Amino acid sequence: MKLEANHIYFKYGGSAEWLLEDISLDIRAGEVVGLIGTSGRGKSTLGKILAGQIGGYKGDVLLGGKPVPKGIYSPVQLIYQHPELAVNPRWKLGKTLAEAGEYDDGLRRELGVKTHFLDRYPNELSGGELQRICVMRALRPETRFLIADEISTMLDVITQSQIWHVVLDYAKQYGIGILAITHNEHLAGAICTRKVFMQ
Amino acid sequence: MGQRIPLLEVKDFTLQFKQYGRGLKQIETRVISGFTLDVHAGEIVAVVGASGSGKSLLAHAILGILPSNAATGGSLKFKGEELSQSLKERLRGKEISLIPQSVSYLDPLMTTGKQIESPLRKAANAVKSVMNRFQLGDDAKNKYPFQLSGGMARRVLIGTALTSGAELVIADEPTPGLHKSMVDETLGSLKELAALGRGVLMITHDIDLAFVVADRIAVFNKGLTVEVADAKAFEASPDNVKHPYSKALWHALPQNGFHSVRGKDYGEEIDAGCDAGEEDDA
Repeated sequence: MKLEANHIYFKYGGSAEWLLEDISLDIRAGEVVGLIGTSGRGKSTLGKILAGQIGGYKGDVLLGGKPVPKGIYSPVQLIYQHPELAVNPRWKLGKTLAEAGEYDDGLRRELGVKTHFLDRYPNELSGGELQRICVMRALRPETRFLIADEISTMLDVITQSQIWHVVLDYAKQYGIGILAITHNEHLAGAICTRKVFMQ
Repeated sequence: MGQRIPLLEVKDFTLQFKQYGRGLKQIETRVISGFTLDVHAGEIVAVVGASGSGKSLLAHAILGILPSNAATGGSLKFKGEELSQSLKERLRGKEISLIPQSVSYLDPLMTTGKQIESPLRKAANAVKSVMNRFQLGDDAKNKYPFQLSGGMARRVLIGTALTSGAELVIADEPTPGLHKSMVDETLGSLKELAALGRGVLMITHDIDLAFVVADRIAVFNKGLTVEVADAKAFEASPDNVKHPYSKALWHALPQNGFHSVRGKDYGEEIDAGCDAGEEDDA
């Protein structure tokens, strides 16, 4: 299984120049690809395109040679840098998590998500606690690829290490491919099997 | 640090919030307890802590901009003098300056030149020299914040702190989401402030940043200073720090093995203190 972006062109409305111009990239099952580059080069935009979160681009995004299915739990999951923007602020976190289906209690413990977190609203938890829940939501057996966009940038280094170890083990167990967008070269060195640079 | 009086002296500082639960039931939540730290002139001290650990509130307490339901205890002194609310109001923006976390703190209706000039009592040509130092060209002087790039806006914030002539500069997460070259530039500016004899208190979640720029690092979690360590020694080896939480931070860095225990709440070992013995964090 392969997730591929072929000859992607994209610009935001009102902009004269391409942000992404003829970008091609593929990620195979089980790989951890580091996407590294200076800010403003369109790394996050490419991540969103791969995850089907934005349209209006030219080129193809294919999962196993076919368009990524829509209207179901997406096999390509995106985790953002800012978890507070990725959850419904008016829902208790248990409801947010339940939206993705039933969860694995072993995974909950491994991620350090305490059961009482699920009875709280997003503004009652810290960024690290929220990000653990967002990671938990994206780690499901149906997930084939994970786009991890600076998921640990705002976290302390212990939380960063804890979360990544769980993600990497889970990906290994289920053969999930990962695109890790990061500017931290040490982190890329510790987690990636391959690196792609966007200049 | 000798017998000199520190610029900033924080001793056994506590902070709690009063909140109303159901009905009229009052709940008190303690967010900082037993925070002790000093900052001397010419020194950069980093407070490193997890997100949500309450470290930004310390900056807000020093500047006197806490919400009204906050209550504090312990002592905050500036140059040996207890910081009362009226003293805080008199000093902030003059003797004590904040480089805020977000560039949205800039006045959207003020041009760059005016912004940098604003804390100056005598503008003269100081604005020009500051703008030169921070590579803000002449054309930038007449621009409004919305016309600046993120990096330029950040340089304006730092420039403003510099012209204020403040002796103590508090930088709250000064480099979020910036690319490495901008990070280096920002840290360079902080070093420059220290070289000019200012004291800098940098608040960050990023221990790598603290290693690069700080003289001393205060490890902060669960509302208290776990330990204050020499930055270079801490970076070099976990043997140079005492507390198991500080050692765990070192080992969790990707360049130092990336070790952590999954599912473990590291906050729980904070209370255990330095005598708790070594924690196996492999």
